[in-house]
Amino acid sequence: MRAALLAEWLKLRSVTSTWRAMGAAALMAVLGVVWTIYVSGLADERGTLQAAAPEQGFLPLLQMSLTVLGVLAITSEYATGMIRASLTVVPRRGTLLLAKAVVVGLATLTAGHVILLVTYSASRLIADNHRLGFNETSLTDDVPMLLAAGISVTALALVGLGLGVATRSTAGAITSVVALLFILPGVVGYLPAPWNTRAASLLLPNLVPQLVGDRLSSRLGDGLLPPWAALLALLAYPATALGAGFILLKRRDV
Amino acid sequence: MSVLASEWRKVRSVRSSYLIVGISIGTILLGLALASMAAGMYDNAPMEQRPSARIADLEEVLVIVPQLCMGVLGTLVITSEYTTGLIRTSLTIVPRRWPVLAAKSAVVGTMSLVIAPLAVFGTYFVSRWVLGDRFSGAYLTSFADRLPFLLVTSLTVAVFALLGLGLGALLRSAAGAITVLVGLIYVIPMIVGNIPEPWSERLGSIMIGALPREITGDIITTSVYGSLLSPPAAAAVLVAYAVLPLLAAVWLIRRRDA
Repeated sequence: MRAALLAEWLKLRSVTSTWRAMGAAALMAVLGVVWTIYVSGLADERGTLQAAAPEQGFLPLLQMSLTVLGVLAITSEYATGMIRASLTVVPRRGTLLLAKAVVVGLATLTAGHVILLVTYSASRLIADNHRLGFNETSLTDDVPMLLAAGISVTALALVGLGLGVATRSTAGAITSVVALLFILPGVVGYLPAPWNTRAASLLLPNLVPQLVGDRLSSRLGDGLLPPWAALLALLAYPATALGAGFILLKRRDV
Repeated sequence: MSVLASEWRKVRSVRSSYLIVGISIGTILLGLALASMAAGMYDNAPMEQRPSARIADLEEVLVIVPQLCMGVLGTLVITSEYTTGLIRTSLTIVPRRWPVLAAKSAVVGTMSLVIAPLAVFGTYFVSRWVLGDRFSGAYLTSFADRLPFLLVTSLTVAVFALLGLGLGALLRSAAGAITVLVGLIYVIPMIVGNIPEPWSERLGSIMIGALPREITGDIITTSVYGSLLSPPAAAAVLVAYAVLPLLAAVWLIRRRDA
């Protein structure tokens, strides 16, 4: 297991796409800084305003970038044929998938939280005494939100990994995650009330606000899940995707 | 002409194309399900609530499915060649290179122009048939009035296909191109919607989702996008989304190694 973990870590850090994905994710901090400077300038003209917090507004960018990292951790092996070497060296397929999940999980958990914290701190430092709406709560109030956002990033990366194993195709897996992250919430939002809120409560992007007891959006109102149920749902997504991936990986030829 | 025929054969001979076309047309079934659900809820609602019940245009909501699908198809027809190495063969056979991209554009563009109207008009007619005069007659407006909007909406699907192809040829990677495509469709509009005015409306007006209503002059006040562009300007922006990445790709493919 130790050797498999080390091998997966070596594979992950030795390809440029990993660092490009990390770079795209880190764009969040840059955009957060630009955003805060912009709204601070507006606040100079208008006094106070209610601006969106950068660590929430740019979260889809972080989620998407690191999900692509999770997808590529496996589909690039199918594209290059490396998967055959990997499974020859680690014949127990569960071990291989577990090692990948651990490495992708830890890498995205670390990177996600670091980027979120940097975005958060930089924007609060720049915002200084301006009254921007999002910087008027204390750090202790915001920590649960940051943790929930970070966990959602890792959950999505593992969903990406699971779907990557299941579809064996970069395009297929990324498109499936996009459906989960953007298309389903879009379509569900247009259902007549109260079904829009009911269905939306179960969707991945809406689990983060429910985890910390925030409302989903001004249109959808409060979600239906209490924080513990939202956490369970958030864990159920990667568990289902990885489970499906594992069953298919075990049964199929490479 | 033979370049065109070979590109058509390439698209026809991979399974993912059929899956993508199937899902695009399957949008009609999704529309049927959503419309039936909405109709059921309308019928169960108390009489006094019915006049205030509203429903979104399902064909406008659901067009994102064929848009994304055909965008992915556009990406795959070029990035799969880079993955498998087929691109070297393709460029050896067509050494001037740009005809390969032109033929691919023609194939995915034409496919989109056939499939998108099927999906969009199909969703429209199914919703109209299921919903009838419910929701204050939202679907009772005459077909002729809706026709321009439905046509332009179908056209955006072809724009996505060409945009996907252009991005795929520029980035040479399915992951990169699809991520950028998704960023353009979903992530950037979400961010733009949160920017304080006046930039939210200004930038919102050039998002692809805003363009069909700007082109046909069907402005609604509840739109998440802006509506500042005149019909010709909006049409020009729509064409630019498809053409500019492709032109950049033609320029690059002639200079880069394959």
